[in-house]
Amino acid sequence: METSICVKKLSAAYGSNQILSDLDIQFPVGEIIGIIGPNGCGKSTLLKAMLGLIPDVKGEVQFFGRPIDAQREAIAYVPQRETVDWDFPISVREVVEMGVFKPGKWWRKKTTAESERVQNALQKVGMWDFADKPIGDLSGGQQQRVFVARALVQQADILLMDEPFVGIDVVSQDQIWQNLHELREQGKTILIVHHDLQSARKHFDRLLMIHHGQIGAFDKPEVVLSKELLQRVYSGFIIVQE
Amino acid sequence: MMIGSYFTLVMIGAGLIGMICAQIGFFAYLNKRSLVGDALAHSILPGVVAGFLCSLSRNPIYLMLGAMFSGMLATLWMEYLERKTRLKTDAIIALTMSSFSALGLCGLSFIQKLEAGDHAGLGDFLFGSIAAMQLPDIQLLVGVALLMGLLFWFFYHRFIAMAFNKEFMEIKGFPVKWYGLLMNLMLMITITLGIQLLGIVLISAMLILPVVAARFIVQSNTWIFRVSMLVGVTSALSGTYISSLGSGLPTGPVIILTTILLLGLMLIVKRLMNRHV
Repeated sequence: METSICVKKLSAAYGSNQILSDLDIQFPVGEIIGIIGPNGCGKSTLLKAMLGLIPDVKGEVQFFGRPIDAQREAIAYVPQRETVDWDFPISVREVVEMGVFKPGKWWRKKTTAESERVQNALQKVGMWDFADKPIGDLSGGQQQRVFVARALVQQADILLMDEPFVGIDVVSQDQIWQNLHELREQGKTILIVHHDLQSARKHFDRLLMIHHGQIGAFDKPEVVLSKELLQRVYSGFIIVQE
Repeated sequence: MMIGSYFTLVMIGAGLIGMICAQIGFFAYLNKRSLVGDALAHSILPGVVAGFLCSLSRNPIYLMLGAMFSGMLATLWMEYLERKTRLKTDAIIALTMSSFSALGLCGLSFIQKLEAGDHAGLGDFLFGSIAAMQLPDIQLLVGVALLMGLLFWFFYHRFIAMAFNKEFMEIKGFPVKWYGLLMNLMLMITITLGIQLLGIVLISAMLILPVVAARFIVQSNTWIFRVSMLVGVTSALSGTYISSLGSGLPTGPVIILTTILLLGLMLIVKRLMNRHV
C-alpha cells in the first residue's frame, strides 16, 4: 500500500488541554477517507495539527515522504464553514483565484492559463454563472461548492476537508461527492472530517475513528461502523441501524 | 502669497492623510481590527512624548520613532495578554488603551511645563491642528503615501486573501505573521502621521468611517477600497478648509463631522437605490 500521509507519534494540545496523544497513522494514496468520532474527540484538531495550524504539536507528519514545507503545493484545504466570515466583501471568482496564488513571485500578475483553470473549476462545481456574485449572496451549499472549486484549482494531490457537508443542501452534497469521486479516479487522496455516520457507510473507502484523542479504529467502513465499536465509542448516544 | 502656498501645502498633506487613513482603515476593518486602530492611536502618545524629550523639538522623525516604539510595545502587550490570559479582546484593548494614554497624557503635561525646547503645538496631538503640519511632515507623508501605494499595488489581492482566509494562506506557505506585522506597522505609521491633523481622540474614526460609508453603496472590495479613499480625501480636504476659515474650530472634529455627513449622504443614496430596484 502506497502511503500519502504518514503521521508519527502526533500529539496536540490547546494549553493544558491534551486533545490528541501519540497518533500513528499511514493514509493510503487514492482513497476517500473519513475521519469520524464523537464531538470534541479531536477530529478537526487532527487535520489542523497535520497542517501545522496549531502551536502545541509534537510528532512528525510527512506528505509523500517529505515534511509539509516541501510539499505545500500538494495540499489543498477546505476549512470548516463556521470559521469563515461569509459577509466578507469578496466575489466567487476572487475566492477561487486564491487557489492559484503562490508565495514569492509577488510581482507576477495572473496568467490566462490560470484564469482558465479558475473558470474550469467553477464549471466543474456548477458555479460558473455565479462567478461575479459576492460570496455572501450564495446559499450554504453554493458557498461550499465555491470552496471545493478553490481546492480543485490548486490541482493538489491531497485534499483535506473539515466537515464540508454540515448544513448544506442535497444538490450541493451530490455535486461535491461527484467532484470528489472524480478526484479519487485521478489518484488523489481525500481526507474528510465527517459527522454523519449514515452517509459515512456509503461514501468512504476507509474510516478513521478518533476516540478520546486516540485511534479507535482505522479500517473499511463496514468494520469501523460495527455495532459493538459504535456503541463503545459513542457510549449509547446513538441508535445503530445495521 | 506665503499664506497661499502654505495653505496649498497643508491641503496636500490633509488629502494624503485622508487617503492613507482610508487605505489602511479598509484593511483594518476587513481584518476586524477597527478597535485595534483606536488602541494604537492612544498607545503611541507615550512614545511621541519620549520622542520629543529625546530631541526637544517636534522633529517628525523622532516623534515617529518614539510612536513606533510605544505602538509596537502596545501591540506585543496585547498579543501577550491574548495568548496568556482568558481576557476577551475588547477588555484587552480597553486595558491597553487606557494605561498607555494615561501615561502619555502625564508626559504631555510634563512637557508643557518644561522651559526648554519648542513644544508649541504638542498639545494639538489630542484634537489635531492645521498649524501642526510643517514641511518635513508633508515630505514624510508623500514618501509614506508612495510606499503604501506601491505595497497595495503589488499585494492588494494577497492582503484581501489574508483577511478573508488566513489559515488557507498559511497552509499555502505565505508568511502570514509577516503580513500581520506589515499591516500593524503601516497602521502605526499612518496613525502617527494622522494624529497631527486629526488628533489622538479622533484618528480611529478617520480609519473606519470612510470604509463604513463605502460599504453602504458598493459591494466589491475593490470598489469599497476606491470609494473609501474618495470619502477619506474629500472629507479631509473639506474639513481642513472649513477649519481654516478662521472660525477657531479644531481640524480633527470638523473633518470627522464632514465624514459623518458623507456617510449620511451614502445612506440616503442607498435608500434611494433600494427603492428603485
